[in-house]
Amino acid sequence: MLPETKPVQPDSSRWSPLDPDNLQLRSWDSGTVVYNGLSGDTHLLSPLAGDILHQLKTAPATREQLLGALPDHFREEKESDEKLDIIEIILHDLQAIDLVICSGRH
Amino acid sequence: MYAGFDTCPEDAFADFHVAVIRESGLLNWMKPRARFYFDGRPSFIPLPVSQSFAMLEWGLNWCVAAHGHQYLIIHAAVIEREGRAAILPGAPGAGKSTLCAGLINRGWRLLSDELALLDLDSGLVCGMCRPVNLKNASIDVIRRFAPHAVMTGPVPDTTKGTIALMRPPEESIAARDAPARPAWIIVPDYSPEASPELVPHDRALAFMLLAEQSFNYDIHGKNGFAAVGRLIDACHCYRFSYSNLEDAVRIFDRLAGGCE
Repeated sequence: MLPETKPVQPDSSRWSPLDPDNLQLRSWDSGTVVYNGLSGDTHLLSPLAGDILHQLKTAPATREQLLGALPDHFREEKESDEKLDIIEIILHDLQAIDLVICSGRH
Repeated sequence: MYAGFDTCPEDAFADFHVAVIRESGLLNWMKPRARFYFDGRPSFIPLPVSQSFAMLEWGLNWCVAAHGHQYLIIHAAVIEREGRAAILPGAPGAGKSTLCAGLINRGWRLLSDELALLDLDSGLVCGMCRPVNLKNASIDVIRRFAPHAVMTGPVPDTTKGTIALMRPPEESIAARDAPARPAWIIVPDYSPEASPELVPHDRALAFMLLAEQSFNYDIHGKNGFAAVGRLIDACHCYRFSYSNLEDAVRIFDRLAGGCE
């Protein structure tokens, strides 16, 4: 008997900065700092989180689109689901500090 | 402590009018205390008269940190060599005042042992050359390292432990109005057994340290963010572990000579 597998559901949630005009970012190899003009807070982000935020400032995106835009952050051997999970965790972390919002979830 | 500084006429403009005045009353007759006055108003709690010099310096630092918002003010020592400034940020106890006091007795110019004043327009650091505040074990360390330095006697039992002030070298006093271009951000880390080590420091972490150690980063908002970013871009960032000032002089001199 084959193990029961769960079909991967494409997630159509789109993520975008809460207020792109009020976000300022500076990046170095070691990470990104972001200033949120709405709250006055400054945050230190990992290189991947910084690049995700940079990408979202360009255009809202789903996590699949983000994965497609940021392949260099992931080792080839990782499964796609695993990579998407990492992106999802980071997106929720960014949402928790009021830098991004999610819309269009089915 | 202020020999070598100019005095201004009574009617000259001043940003702050400060005084340290002995308190009156029976209690103060038995245990003499003095209080810091800012623009004629008593500020802070009175302290024993023996702490008056320290109170004047602490009060002056407060005046600048609380009002000098034309600058981004960072809790850091600043020293200069050949027009290039090294900014030494760090929490109390990290050894920045000791390092600063040692280096200014070996050819570096003092801009401040406590407050880096970053001009947001020019990106230069302005000087505030005043007596250096030494605490506890640092007092004897500097006495041995620079026996010619002019220091007050030690004042025990202050809120910061035993303190003493050291007069800046004459060359630093003479050049006190000259700003300097930031070239290095060096985070000192004194430890009694540490081998001297100067290693590159993560720039994003250095950014956060400067923002956290700034007194008015929040007031400047996005301009403060941009200014710290420019400062990080303009500087080499290092961490410096040390236990011995002779090692520090050697390493900082190599740094100034472009050998790091």
